[in-house]
Amino acid sequence: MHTDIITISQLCFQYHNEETGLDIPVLQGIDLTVKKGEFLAVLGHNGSGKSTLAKHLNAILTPTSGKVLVEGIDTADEKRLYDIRQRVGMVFQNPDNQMVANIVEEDVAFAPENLGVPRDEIRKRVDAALESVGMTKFKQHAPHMLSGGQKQRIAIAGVLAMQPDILVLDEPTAMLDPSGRKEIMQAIKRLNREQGMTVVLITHYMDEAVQADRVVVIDHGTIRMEGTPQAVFPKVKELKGLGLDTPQATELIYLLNQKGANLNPEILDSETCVAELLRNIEINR
Amino acid sequence: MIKLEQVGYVYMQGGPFEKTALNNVSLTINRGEFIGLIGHTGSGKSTLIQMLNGLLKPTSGKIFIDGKELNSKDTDMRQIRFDVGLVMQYPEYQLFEETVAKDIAFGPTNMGLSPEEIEERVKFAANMVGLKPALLDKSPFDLSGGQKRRVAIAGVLAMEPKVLILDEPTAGLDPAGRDEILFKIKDMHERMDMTVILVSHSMEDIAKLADRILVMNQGEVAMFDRTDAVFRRGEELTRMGLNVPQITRITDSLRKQGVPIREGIYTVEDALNELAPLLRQEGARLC
Repeated sequence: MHTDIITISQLCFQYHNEETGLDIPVLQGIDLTVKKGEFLAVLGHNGSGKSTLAKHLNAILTPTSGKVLVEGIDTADEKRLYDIRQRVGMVFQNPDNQMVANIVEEDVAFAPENLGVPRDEIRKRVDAALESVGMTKFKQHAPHMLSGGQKQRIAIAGVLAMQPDILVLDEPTAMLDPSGRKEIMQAIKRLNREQGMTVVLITHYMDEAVQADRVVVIDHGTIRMEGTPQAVFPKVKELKGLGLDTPQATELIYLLNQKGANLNPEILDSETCVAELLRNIEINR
Repeated sequence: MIKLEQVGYVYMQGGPFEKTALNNVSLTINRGEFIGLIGHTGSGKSTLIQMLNGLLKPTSGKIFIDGKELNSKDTDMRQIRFDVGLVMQYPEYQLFEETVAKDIAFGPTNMGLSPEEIEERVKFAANMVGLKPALLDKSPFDLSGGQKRRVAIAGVLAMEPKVLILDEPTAGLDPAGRDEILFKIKDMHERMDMTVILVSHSMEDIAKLADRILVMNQGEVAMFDRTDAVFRRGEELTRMGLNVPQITRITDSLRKQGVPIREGIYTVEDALNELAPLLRQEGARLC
């Protein structure tokens, strides 16, 4: 985790509103680097600009001003579009919009087929991709018969079959139930830890951002907070002001400290919260 | 208000893919209650709510709404659908009209109300969900996701149902959008004296709003009790693939380890009130 794989400098993006004739700024001077092998969460409420930022990572959008470099390639360079798309795989919110074939393994093979990958190589990649997301035994199934979480894992496998270096996921769990959300988070974390995949997760769920190495909080197209989850989430008041949540464990500790307790605020999960409380209650027994 | 007597539902009865979705469900919901309905995917909760306004007919048992038996010859099912408003998941996908006002007016127009009454109801419902009057003449497709969802909810409210059922009304919304919708639902419940059934995967949301919680598991009623009583049974809920709020897990764990803290805590405020005195003693000693 030392080399920068994505470098964003002074990124501004605006779109033109035809009706009013005004330019609407969406991103206003983003400076951000992503390290190779990092799991980065981009947190922000709806309309904060986080999805627009995600779309800049594989040149679906290009900057109005400023620069986005992916492995040194400028995303504004149209001649390098395929190189960028091959390096950065995108997964979107609705798995149903990302399915193209009637059989799981054919769906996963879609991208490498289009890239002209040889047949034997496609077979290998499809098998490896399905294995990475734990869907091997469903390879002959019809995607529409699967659960939301399973479909979204197929969508991730379809991206993995392109063998990207970076996986960008734009609210991949927003339409899933709790067990589907858990499946996706486990798959993402495994890819990151075991295969060293660089992951950028766009989300508004704090319980997902908590699991990342680093969190960036976006509001009104600018970066408002940045750091490890342990550093970001204890800032309860600031996050609430940005329309975001903190874990209940963090909020409880924060509120107790407001009342004069002296507890370690860098707490995100129930186990460490209980341990911290016990440590402080036991002293006076 | 709502009464179910030994209700069952079997999909594709007699066929090779026969599947029992609901089995022997009996329960009563009182007028004006706020019910939280939880259960993992496939527990039967969607089947249950679709029966309550007659979209599905039970394959056994009886359902009564306001004393009228559903699907019986003497009951006007059309009226039942006006009385029991159902807001489905991702209701914004069902918007279709040219303007927000026309979309909200669709239900009341079908009820055969006068144009004046319809206009009145559209304004009322839009206001109730917090849509500004300036939005009424816009195309619903130009609105943000959260606004679209509020239009869809207003469309059901405009029929002034006695019972409002919402299936995952906050799915996909960010925390601010979620809190706003939940606040509006609570406000409607209180001001319009409606019976509300809220289906949600979020225990935190249910904990904030419900008087009683109905837990479905494998097509049966697993629990139906006051909110605190249900969250007291955390281990059973976990076994059903459900969660209790994080704050409940924390206080349960503390109590197991000998901290004198009461059962059935499910909000951060309650936990704070219980724990603050225990910690403040320490502060006093340190001084």
